[in-house]
Amino acid sequence: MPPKKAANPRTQDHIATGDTQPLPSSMSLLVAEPADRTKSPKRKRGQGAKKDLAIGVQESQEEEGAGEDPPRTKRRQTVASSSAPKPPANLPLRFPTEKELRVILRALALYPDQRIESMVDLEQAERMIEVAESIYRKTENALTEVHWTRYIIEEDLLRKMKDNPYLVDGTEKLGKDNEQGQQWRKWVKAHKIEYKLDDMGWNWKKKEVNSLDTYVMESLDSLLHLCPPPFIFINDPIAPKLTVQSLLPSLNRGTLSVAHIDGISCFTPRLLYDTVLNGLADYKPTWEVGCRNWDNEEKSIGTANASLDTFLHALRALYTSLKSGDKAGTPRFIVVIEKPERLKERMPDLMVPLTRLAELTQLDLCVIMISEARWEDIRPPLGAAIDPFYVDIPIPTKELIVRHLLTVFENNSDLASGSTTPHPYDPVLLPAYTQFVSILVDVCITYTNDPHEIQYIAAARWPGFIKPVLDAHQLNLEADPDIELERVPTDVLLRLTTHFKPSLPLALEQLYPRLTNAADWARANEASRAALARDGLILRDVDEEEEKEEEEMDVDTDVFSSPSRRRASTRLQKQKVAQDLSSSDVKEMLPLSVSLPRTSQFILLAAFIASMNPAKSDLRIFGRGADGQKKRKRRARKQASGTTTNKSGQTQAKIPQRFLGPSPFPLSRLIAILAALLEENDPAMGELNDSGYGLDFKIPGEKTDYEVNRVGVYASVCDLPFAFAARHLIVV
Amino acid sequence: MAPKRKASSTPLDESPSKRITRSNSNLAFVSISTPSPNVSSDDESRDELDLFDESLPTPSRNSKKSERRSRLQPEKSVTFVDILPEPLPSPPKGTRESGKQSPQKRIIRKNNQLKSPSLTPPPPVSSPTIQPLPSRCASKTDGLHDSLHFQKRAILWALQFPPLYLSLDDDAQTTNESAVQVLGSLLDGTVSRGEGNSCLLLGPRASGKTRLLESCIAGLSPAPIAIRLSGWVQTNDRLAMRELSRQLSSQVSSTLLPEELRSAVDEASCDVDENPFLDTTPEAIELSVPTAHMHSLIACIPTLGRPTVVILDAFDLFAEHPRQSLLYSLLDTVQSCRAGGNGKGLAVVGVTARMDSNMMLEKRVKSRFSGRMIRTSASSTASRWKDMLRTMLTPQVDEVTEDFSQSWKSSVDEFLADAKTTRILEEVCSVIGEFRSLARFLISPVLNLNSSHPRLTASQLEISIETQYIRTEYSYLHTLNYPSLCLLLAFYQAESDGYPALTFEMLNDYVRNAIRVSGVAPVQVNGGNIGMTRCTRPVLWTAFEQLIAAQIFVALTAPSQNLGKNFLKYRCAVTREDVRKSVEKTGNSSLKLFLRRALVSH
Repeated sequence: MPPKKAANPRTQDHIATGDTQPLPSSMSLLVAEPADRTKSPKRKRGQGAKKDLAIGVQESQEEEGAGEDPPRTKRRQTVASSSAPKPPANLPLRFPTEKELRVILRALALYPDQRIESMVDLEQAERMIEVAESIYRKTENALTEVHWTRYIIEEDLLRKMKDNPYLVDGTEKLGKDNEQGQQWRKWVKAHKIEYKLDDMGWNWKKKEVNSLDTYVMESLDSLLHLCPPPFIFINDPIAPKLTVQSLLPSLNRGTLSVAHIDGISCFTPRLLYDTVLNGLADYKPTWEVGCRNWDNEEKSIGTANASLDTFLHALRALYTSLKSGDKAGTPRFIVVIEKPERLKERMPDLMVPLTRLAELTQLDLCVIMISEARWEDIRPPLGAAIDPFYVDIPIPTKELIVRHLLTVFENNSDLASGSTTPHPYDPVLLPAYTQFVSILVDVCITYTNDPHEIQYIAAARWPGFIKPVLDAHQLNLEADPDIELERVPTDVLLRLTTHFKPSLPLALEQLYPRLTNAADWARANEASRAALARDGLILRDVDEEEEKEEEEMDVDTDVFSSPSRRRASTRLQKQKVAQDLSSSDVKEMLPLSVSLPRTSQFILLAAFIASMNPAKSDLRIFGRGADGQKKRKRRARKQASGTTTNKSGQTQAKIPQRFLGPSPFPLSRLIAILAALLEENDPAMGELNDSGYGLDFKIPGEKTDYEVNRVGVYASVCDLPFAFAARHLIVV
Repeated sequence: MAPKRKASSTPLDESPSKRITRSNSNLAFVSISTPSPNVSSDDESRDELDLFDESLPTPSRNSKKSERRSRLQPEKSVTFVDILPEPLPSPPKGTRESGKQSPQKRIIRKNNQLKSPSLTPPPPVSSPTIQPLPSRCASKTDGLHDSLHFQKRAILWALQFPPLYLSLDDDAQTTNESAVQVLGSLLDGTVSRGEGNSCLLLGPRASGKTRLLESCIAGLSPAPIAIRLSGWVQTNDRLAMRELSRQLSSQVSSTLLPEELRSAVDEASCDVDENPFLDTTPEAIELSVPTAHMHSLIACIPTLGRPTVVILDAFDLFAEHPRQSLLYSLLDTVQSCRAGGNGKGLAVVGVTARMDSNMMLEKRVKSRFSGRMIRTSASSTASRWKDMLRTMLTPQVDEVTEDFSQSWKSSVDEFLADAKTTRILEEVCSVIGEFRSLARFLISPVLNLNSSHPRLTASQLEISIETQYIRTEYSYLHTLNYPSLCLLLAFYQAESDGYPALTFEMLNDYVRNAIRVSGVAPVQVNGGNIGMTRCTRPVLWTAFEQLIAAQIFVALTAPSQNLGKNFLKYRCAVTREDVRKSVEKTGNSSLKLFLRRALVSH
């Protein structure tokens, strides 16, 4: 990946300025011009875009050295000193020559192609807009191509500035009554550009089959088809599952026989042998034949899974039977092992034979292990296994994740292509989805790089996100059955984005750690109609009263339902959070006062004190003198810093008990602490009428002692773990 | 993949610094020497603007153009000498250029510390003269691509099975050559004269022990019964005995087998009735051959119709079996084999890398062992390796034309003559000393050959060695996500505070503190807050679990039922230096602040 990434800024330079001499001068001329229009929304956008870019561009800027062209420097200066005075407006403005103009137009026309390769630098894009606009203003030249490009660029910019939504449409900027704008709109309409996704630069998807880093995968694929080494180890620290998924389909062609093994499901040698053999033979055990495993048809090989020897013999038999079979060419066995670290834990003896499988069977065989851990952590001792051919999968970048999500969208729309009703994965919605995904990835990329996780979050949010559009379409359908789902207008998309954006971090916090599942989350976070109407996303067909009602409902049912407006009082919110089981912290949400009887509460408290404090501190906490006063005795600490010295002489800081978790304690200690707690802190204890017992307690604490030794207390002690185990299950 | 894709992806592979110069040269080339049909094929008149357009690295355009061209001129013959760029004409020029490249090279090596290694080829450090011109290649990509494909396959095959030894012109024999002679004569004695022989084949890993033995056996006539046992598979004598009988039965017709063996084999093959759902350990399986009978069964082997060679791979593991009864039986039979007697010969060859295997034998076994040890060795000189490499890199490929193989050979010669390649070879030869590793290092450069880079380069080999052998630990750290880096930094700080092992609770506390501290005095740059981003506990926990899965955090104690997962103690497998470097490399200012605070607290 590094070469590709590094290439971006340069490519852009290259495009916008070119190598030819006249261009930079014209650029600077043209760029200088719009800078003095302070009021224009573009200024603000520029800052916004710049802010977003700041981190991403930083490193690439460092690489660029002397080769910087003058306009770029100027631009950066103006942006860096955001409110600083503009560069002098009296720069000699020159009308670009026809030649320069053509160069610029060419660069603009190339923009969509660049965008396909996701090599777009937004700063450059913005400058290109400015140039385009300047050309337009100077020449009054209604070049539809340029406008079209502008439209795309502006969409891109829009995606970047979620906070400052000014521009919506390429035409809007020209003004509603502008003749050129109208012409362009007509042109766009006439050419039905909304439906030509290929024109917009979406045709990359035809090229890409695997969503992962294609270069690594391609080389691996060609290696496996050419002549693989006997043992390959793939280290993918983030998403090994995705690697497997993108590796397997490419192997199912030619004469390769592939067996896919999961270290978790193959937990005994027998299962392992059977899975490998069935996979390589492409054989599925069926119920009709008694779920028998693969066996040679002509000459039975007996039980192949009895031991490693029989397994190896069966492999050879399988090879010969495949070789003589219908398939042309000599077969090649590929054994893909996922989670090999589990195999190491379960069957350490098998690791060496597995890596040496090709040598032992003397067949054309390749074992591929895919793991999150390194081979150094899995490797059997004594150098018994052969050295693997290492393949390292880099951590997925943002572009790869976006690409993966779009591929998934495409697959979904293929799957749902048969449905007649509008569905969220209609191909027409792809541009909207692209924008949605880029915002989502922006939110999530800080916290996770796993494409699977982000895909999960996207799957939970997207149907709700696009629902207003689909509903509107449904309404239109009722009016006119022939109407087709159109591309989502940019302003609607924008409103949708502003409405749903606050729910994205929430989705991450709840779905990424799997505090809840996607379906439940989507149900809980459905946007209410009132909130949508407020944001102008649906028609305000509900009258005032209804809306009010709904708002109250909204407060009652779920505070998160309209993420953009939270009008519920803080008290209500807190209550909701406390009751919401899927909320984060276990301690906060357990309403002890509600669920447990009084004695049990005290037992719980006593247990906590007993487990979190050393026994020797009990006297200090609960010890009382004869007068009932707390003994205040100060002991000089032996070790002031709280460090311990271990055998090797190194000093180690002592970890506080609260970080080490609860420690076990005897029951008698629990009872003693419980007694102390009850004696001092239980208000009910004093109120109880002594006569109820028919006993006379004289000595202080005697009553408590009596109370504590009841059978009921022991019963509660026994009950509590069950109660908590059950509750724990519910919570987690 | 498809050739088109390959061809179109080439611009991405090229170094950014080279792009402008290359497009210039391309431009110059087109304007000077483009054949006329190409020019006329374009719709518009070709002025400078169009040239500028073409020089832009847009893959789709390039491929489109190449398609158009190939359609226009399908009959044009492709000369392969043209495709492969000319070799460097004179050594002084080469050295000058390598001198020029050195700063770039240094940068690459410096970055390598934290760069994520992958199959991706490094930006080729070759000079523009070596660089093939893309416009020429694009039009002729098909022929070159196919030829390269076949060449690659042949080379990869050759790399997997390197020659045992290379016969030299001078009289000095290599270790392996003499080993072949000794072993060959030994086995010949068994086969032709019915001797009982035993020997050990000793040599370091990947020195060609097994292949040497196999080649010797293959050369014997009449072909003996070869029984191959491996200490890795047959982990005890029962399994070994069973496998032995199975192999015997498959190689000898059943009637020739003596009565006891036949019944044993029958029993071995008829345990189909066994309940397949019973998951029994190998030891518990009812064995066909009782250990008590083992000796008498093995003693029957010389009575078979053909001489037998028993190969014991990982011999040292057999020596670890209790009482070494299999070894005793085998070696006892060997010793009792009388030349000229009725029986046929039996040879037992142990193969191992363990030098003291002889010492592991019990006295009664040792006294029956001949004590003969044949050594193999892969150690050689770099120049010898170079010759081996040359033969492996230029295999006979039938599919390609003569022109191509000629130019390929010259390019391989050039690659091997490169000073850098020689240095690398010398290093590998002295440090690693086994040829199989070198072959492994060459896989990736060979695999990366494509029609725009049809040559092997020393720098690619260097990068490949870095990926395959040097293996910088956790090279991807700096691309980890924010919570994971926070956790690593928390560990960093905790280590400064004197905690070598931590629980999740403590890490969480550290991270929370850091976030709180950075939030206390908000620093704003350009209106943006550069404080640390909030990170909730569940998100942090998920990141923590991911780090455990990647074995960056290693649990010190086994998980127990009483203790929650968040209270288990972990240690960090990443060194402090790596954490520091990767955090500095991320460029995240708030994390850098965290790092600085962690340093100060120390």
